[in-house]
This record gives sequence, C-alpha cells and structure tokens, in this order.
Amino acid sequence: MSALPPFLSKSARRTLGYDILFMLPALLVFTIFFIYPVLTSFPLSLTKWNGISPDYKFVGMRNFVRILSDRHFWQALENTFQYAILVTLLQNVIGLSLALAVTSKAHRPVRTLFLVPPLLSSIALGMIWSYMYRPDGAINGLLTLAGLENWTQNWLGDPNLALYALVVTNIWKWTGMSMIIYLAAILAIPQEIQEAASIDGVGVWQRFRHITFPLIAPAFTINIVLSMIGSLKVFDIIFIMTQGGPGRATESLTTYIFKRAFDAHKFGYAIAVAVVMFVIIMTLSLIQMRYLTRREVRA
Amino acid sequence: MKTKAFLIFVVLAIAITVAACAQPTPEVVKETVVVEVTKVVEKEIEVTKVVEKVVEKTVVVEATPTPEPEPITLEFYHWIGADLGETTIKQINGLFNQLYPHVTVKFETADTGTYEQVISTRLSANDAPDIFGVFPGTKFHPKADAGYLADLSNEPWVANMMPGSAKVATYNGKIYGYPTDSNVIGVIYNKGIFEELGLEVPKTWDDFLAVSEAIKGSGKIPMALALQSAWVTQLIPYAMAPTAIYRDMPDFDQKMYNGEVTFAESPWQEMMEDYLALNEAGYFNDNALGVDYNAALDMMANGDAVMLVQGNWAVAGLRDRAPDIEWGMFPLPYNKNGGAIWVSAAVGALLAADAHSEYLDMAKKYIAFWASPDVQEIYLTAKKAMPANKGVNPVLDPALAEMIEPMQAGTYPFLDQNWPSGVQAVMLQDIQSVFAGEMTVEEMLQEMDEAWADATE
Repeated sequence: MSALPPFLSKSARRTLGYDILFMLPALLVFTIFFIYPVLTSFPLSLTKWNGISPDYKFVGMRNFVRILSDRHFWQALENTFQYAILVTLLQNVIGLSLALAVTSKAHRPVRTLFLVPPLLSSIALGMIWSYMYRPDGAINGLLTLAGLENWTQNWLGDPNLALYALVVTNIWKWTGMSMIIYLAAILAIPQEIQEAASIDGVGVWQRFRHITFPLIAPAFTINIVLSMIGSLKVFDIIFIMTQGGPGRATESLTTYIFKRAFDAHKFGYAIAVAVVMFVIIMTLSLIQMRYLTRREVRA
Repeated sequence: MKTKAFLIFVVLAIAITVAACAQPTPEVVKETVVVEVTKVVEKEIEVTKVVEKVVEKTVVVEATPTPEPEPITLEFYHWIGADLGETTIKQINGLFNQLYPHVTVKFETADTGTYEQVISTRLSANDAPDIFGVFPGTKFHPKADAGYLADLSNEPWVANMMPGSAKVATYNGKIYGYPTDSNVIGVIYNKGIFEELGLEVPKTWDDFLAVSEAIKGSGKIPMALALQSAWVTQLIPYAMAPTAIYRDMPDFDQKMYNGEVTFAESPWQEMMEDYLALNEAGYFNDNALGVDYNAALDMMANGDAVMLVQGNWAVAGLRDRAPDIEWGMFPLPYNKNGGAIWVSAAVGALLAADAHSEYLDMAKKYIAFWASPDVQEIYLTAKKAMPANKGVNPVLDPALAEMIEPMQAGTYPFLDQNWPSGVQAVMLQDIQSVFAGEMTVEEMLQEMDEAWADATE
C-alpha cells in the first residue's frame, strides 16, 4: 500500500480499501444515473439542436457567446442570486434559532411539527401557498381581520414582491431541515463542557458564542452549503407558483433553462446555460467548503 | 482470513445498498403509492375488459371458425383527458374494442402545460405511443421533420376536413393529423346581469366600451382577467387580431416569414394599447397579475364579474361552478374602423400516429374510428367544442351555439399556430411585464420580432 498518496493520514491509509468498498455501490449508481448523463449532455451545449430532431448542428462556442449578451439570462442570474442569498441567510438564522429553542426533550412534538413541511411535496405546497397569496386569499384576509388593511398586497402579482413571497415559501418549507441538522450538532456537544462553563459563571450568550457556535461548525458548513445549492437550483416552487412571472420578475436560472429548452426548442442554448450554472454552483460550493471547514474544530 | 473479511464486507456492502435502495425518501414513497393505486385501477378495468372479450370470443368462435388474431395493445397519449375526466375517452375506446375485440387501447393523459414536454421527450427517446395528440400548426412541424409522425394523407377522413382544419394539419403537402375539434375565443357573459342592467350584446368597439362602463357603474367588475396564468394573457390580443389584422391582410404571417412586416409596425401596437386602456379604465378586476384562471372563473360564477374573454372550454368550467346562471357568448367586437368582426377560432388538437409503430395499420384504423360521425358527436358534445370536420353535428352548448353565426363572417386560427416556436413564450411573459409596468409596448413588440428572427434563422 506504499503507492498511496502522501496526504492521507495513517488511519486513512489503513481503512482506504474498505472506504472504497463501501462507497462503490453508491458511487456506481451515482455515476450511471447522474455523472454519465450530465457529462454526455455537455457536448450538446456546443450545438444548435431543437430537442427532437436526430441531427445536431455544431456551432462551437456560439451559445456561450450569446449568453454574455442575453439580458434575460442576466436577469435570471440576478434573481437567482438574490433568492439564494436571502434563503441561505434567513433559513440558517431561523433554523439555528429554532434549534436552540427546542433542545429539551419536552420539545419533541414541536420538533416533529417543524419537520412536516420538508416532507410535503413541493407541488401540493406550492398550490396551497399560491392560494393563500391570492389577492382574496388567506394572507390578505388575516391582515384585514387584524385591521391592517393597508398592508394587504398582490403578493404574487406584484413584480417587486413576488420573489420575496417565494423566498418566504421556500424558507417555510426547508427551515425544519436546517433546524434538525443544527439540533443534532447541538445535542452532540458534551454536556460537561456546558456545565463547566456555567459553573465558572459564563453567561448564556458567551456560552453560545464560545462553546456552542464553534462546536456546531460542521453543521453550519453543511447547512450553508446545502441551502445555498438548493436555492440556487430552485425550480419546483417557482414553477408552480409563478412560472417565473409576472413577466420575468421571478425567473430563475432553472426556469429560464426549462423555457429555452421546452418552449423555444433551443436545447443547445439551454444546455449551455445549464453548463454555466453548473460552473457557478460548483465554484461557489468549493469556495464555501474551503472557507467554512477551515474554522471547524473538534470537541 | 483476509479473503473472509473481504467477503463479509462485500456481503455487508450489498446488503446496505439493498437496504438503502429499499428505503426511498418520503416524497418518493408517496409517489409510488399513487402510481400503484392507478395501476391497480387500470388492471381492474383491463380485467373486466378481458372478461368481456372472453365472452365475445366464445360467441365468435361458435359462429365462425376462423383463427383469432393476436391480442394487441395500442398506447394512446393525449392531453384531452384532463378536460374530459377520461370517461368519454374510455367510452370511445370501449366502442372501438367492440369493433376490434382483439385490440385494447391503453389511454394515458397529461396536463396541457406539461404534455408538449413529455411527448417531445418520449419521441426523442424512442418511446413513442402508437397514437398521440399534437398541437395544430407549426408546433408539430419539428416532429414531422424528425420523421416521428406517420403520413396520414391517404386516410378516408381527409376529404371531410374543413379547409381551415386541413391547413393546420398539413405540412409540406402531407397530412399528419386528424383534427378532432374546433375551439373559439369570445366574450362569455352573464345573461341575467345583462338583462338586469338593460344591456345589449355590443356590435362595435364603442358599444363594447359603453357596456363595460355601464357594468362598472353598477358596481360590478366588467371583465374578469387572470393575468397570473400566462396562457390567459394572450386571449384578448388573439380575439382582436383576426379583425384588426387578418381580415384586411390575410397573409400577414407569410409576410412576417418573408421579413416584409414586423410586429412593431403592425396593428399590434394599437391592440396592446387598447388592451392596456381597458385596464386603466377599470374594466378589469384589480390585481389581475395575481389572479389565476380558476380565480377568474370563480369571479364569474359568483356574479362579481360579468364578462370574460375566454375560449369555449371555459364554459364547461363555468357550468360546473354555476349551473343556474345563463351563460352567453359573443365575438369581441374589435372593429374600430367598422366592418365585419372576425372571430378567433382554431382546431384544438390533432391525432397523430407514430411512424415507427409496430401496429401502424391498427393505429390508423383507430384514428379513422375517431373520424366517424358517431364518435365525433360523442366527443364534441362532452367537450363542448365545435366540429372541425364536415358532416358532424354534435349537441352544441347554448353559449357556444351563439358563436356559430358570427363565425360565418370570417375566422382566423389562434395566432401561435402559424408562428415559429419561441415567439409565443416571449409574448406571454412580455404581456405580464407590460401590465406590471416593467416594459413598454414598443419593447415588447421588439422582443417578439427578435424572437421571430431568432427562431427562423
């Protein structure tokens, strides 16, 4: 086993054979159903293809050059980033706060409750929220009941609000998931450390700041990366609730790709946009992983 | 020892994979359950069919000793089931089965919004159904180019097609689909409220504006408009264009293809401005961009709104919601300079056959069966649609019947049926943007011209 790369630790070298063995089945499935189709579709980004015809026309980098001057692409990119940043921030702040609030065993039923939305199908959920957002829907109804008639809005019909309305739905669906990951990490912190600190007279905020927060860093990394990737490639919620509208106010990269491919029959171009999106998400994820794992500590 | 450990690990690894595979995520679980339920139902139906078949078979065997043909299952995929609740299609397939006892037609349906994507994918993946629906006009041309559609030019029903129907079923001189039904866009209205307010069906644009003003004055919403549903945004321009453009310039689309005219310098500018003016005058419901198709139907059924520019298919939805209201329909009178009002009317669907089907002959027989007047009448009566072929006389919905006479003046198909793909999608998004105040009419028409150029390059 002397030919192993030098960066592996001794224990890693010892278990490497088994590691690979255990990964193999999943890796095989992943390769056949994910990596292979993705890689084989990349060359199509260099073609002009209507999605049906058996003939492709090779056009070189033309699709990518066109993306640069495609204002609808840039708007979709801007919307996607805005959406992803808001979701990532809010979902983690709320998720972490909820996790801190439900640490005791007595809170178990509440935890279960928060886990329901992530299990619901996006289609059902999108339809329910669309209904609530209607001008005569439940949200405006509640506001009117509370005497806040001035606050009622055309939630999904106002181009300045629609994206935020979708962000709320997305957070409502996925915050429970973030919460449970944070909760697992919090519960894994050895009780003695917290106890020792409180005997030493360390306050709640200080304990959070210097003990809990550093020790849940791996959960933090996972949550940030997952919520960012998830919201950058959001499709279902938007497609069901606004289809990217009104106009292009909630057009994300994914809905744009879908429309270019299936409405305009520009598959080559759509795949080129997908390749660009792939590169963006990959780069951002790698940067985040690098930066966030650096500050992880072991308890 | 090592090999033993290795073996144990292999077994463990396989066991874990199998276990992991056997535990799908919650969402997946739900989906599989649903699929199983529908499958069971299908199976039950098939079982009853088989039983019927067996009974018939014995009778046949006693009568004529000729050998039974091999049983065939034809796959039929179409979006129409979503409207008809599949019962009518089942009825038709049952009748076909009586005619050809060895043939079972397996019908599957999809939502109109996703149908085109699914069928395109299935065709390019060599998973074509034997018979399937295609949208009339340019939308099926790429499928014909790719050789997926059987040439139906020599079928017995070809001679019975109405000229307009034949046009949108023909490509490069060949017929690729059987036009099953015809639809019309007009103003659906609440006759009771018209009577209460002493209003008459308007015959000119000024009359139409006056009627709207009178309804507004009574405190009701003159017209329900559902701009959140992208496909609804196009209906008012579609209803205007036959009179505003095609009555005087029937070859406008051809001129677009030749690059002789543009949207920007066509009556589209005025049409869009008038569309917006209706909104500014308060003739639509508030927040139209946040209202979807079903919400607009609700407004009509509640009696809050009085008129609705929609296709005849909406009448079925309105009758379900409010069976006691008397609904009528008239053409949108966009004849600002006087003259005849042309109506937006178009074939709704074509039945096509898979060119590579193992049972192409039987698939053609099935389509010909749909073309028989009896089947056509069953279908059209249920769908509340109009015939696209001669010699077919379905029971027309009373509201729809009111459109027959106005249609004699002249009709033009739904505009996208003659457009290259991609233009309609841009238009739908841009109409929303224009109503949201994020885009001007000029910018919208320019984008439509760009999309046209992009699609035809």
